[in-house]
Amino acid sequence: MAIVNVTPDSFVDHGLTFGTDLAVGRIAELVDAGADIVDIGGVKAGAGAEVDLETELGRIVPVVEAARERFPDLVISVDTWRSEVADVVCRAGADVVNDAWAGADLGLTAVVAEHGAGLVCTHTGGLLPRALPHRVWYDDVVTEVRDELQRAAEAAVAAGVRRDGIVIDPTHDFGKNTRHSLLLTRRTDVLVATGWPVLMAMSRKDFVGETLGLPTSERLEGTLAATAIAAWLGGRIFRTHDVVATRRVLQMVSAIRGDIAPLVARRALA
Amino acid sequence: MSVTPELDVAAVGFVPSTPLLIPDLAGAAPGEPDEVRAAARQAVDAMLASGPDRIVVMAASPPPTLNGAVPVWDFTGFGLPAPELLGSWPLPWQLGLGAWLLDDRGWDGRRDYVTAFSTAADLVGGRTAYLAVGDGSVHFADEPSDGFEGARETFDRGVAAAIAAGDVASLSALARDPVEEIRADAPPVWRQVAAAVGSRPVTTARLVYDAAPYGVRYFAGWWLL
Repeated sequence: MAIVNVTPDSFVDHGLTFGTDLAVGRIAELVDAGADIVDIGGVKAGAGAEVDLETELGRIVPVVEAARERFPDLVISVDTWRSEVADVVCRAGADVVNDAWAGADLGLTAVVAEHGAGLVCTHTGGLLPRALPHRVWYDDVVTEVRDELQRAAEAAVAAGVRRDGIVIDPTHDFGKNTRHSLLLTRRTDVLVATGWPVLMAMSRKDFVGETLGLPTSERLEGTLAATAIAAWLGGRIFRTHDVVATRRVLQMVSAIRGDIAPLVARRALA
Repeated sequence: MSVTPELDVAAVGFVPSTPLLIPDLAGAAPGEPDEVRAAARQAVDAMLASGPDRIVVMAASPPPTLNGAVPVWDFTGFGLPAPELLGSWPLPWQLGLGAWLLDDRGWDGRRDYVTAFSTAADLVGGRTAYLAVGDGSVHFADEPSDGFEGARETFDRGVAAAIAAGDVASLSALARDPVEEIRADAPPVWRQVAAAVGSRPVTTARLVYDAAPYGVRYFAGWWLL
């Protein structure tokens, strides 16, 4: 799942793909690089300048329409917490709604169900959209996140969302400190054991940066290490800024696990 | 403000309620927390040097459930490995932070814990020093303007001045009804401080830290009575 930020202020690319043409051009690059899914967002996840409904729609709807037209088979996800946005982008051709703020808009699930779209269920510890976590305490973060994600997924099914369209995401950094995010990565297997496909959104996040003491521009290796561990433990979808590197890591981990064969295996066999 | 005659108040230590004070929790890298950690240690040391018989840790936390067990600090909820809790009981983390500071500075005498839910009777018992764990306003750098910049500044400046001057009445007044949006957690703690000190004269007042390096206003200082 490749990240496409149609924002002027997101924490990694700082507006690099802000604008319809730039964003659609970026999607073409990401597809060429091997992305199976693109995740288009119009609001910076962290705290920042307010983005109202009309502005969010104006940023992402033209991108979704253009991407749908140009890449009919591409899975298009939209990162939004607003049910109104979900409704419009699903009409414009989006396949999945990435509800990164964990049901903050109570009407969102019904909209997703109505369109037969997929849904990413997330965990934020009850934070309001774009709020920063402050001294967050979990008696057992892995169990609490697992239980909450299971509840959210089952609630989505009960609301009519297609069961085969639901994935769960522990949502690193959101409502969590660095140790919480490391623990959730370490125990990816607990999330996998729920039976729901697990999405890991770890790319260049602060838990990587704090662990290594590095800025966003230098967090690729840390992200890939976390990606490899989570993939080994059964994570299925990886949200990333770095498609080529992530695909290579996943291909290698899959081969080590025995899930796929090497592309070539002629060494010592000639 | 009256004086509760049963109380024998030796000192008050003011320290932040940030978990960043704990090196094992905040990480090994040296950096900005060093200054506030040093200030907190200084405040605790000055409070202990007043010669108390016991320390009362005050924090804005849920009441501790002690069940007769030995209360200990426990920061597993922030992601640290679980400590050995045989025969002991974990304190709410804010009180645990005070307990950790006392351990860190070598206090092995009597200690008790009070919260905003405690009563005046909980404050009584021997010559006592109070360790007040709490912070001023909160506003992170990435957060947009919310119109409460002035309220935060007025509140924090007033608290700093009150601690620096040993001004119980001013601290009490500031803590009585703060603007909710400034998100300060210390007012209930400072109300308890004011209740304990009452109208006793503060003979020495020091403020050694007053800054918000991460968006939360930290204060460190002490009063001797």
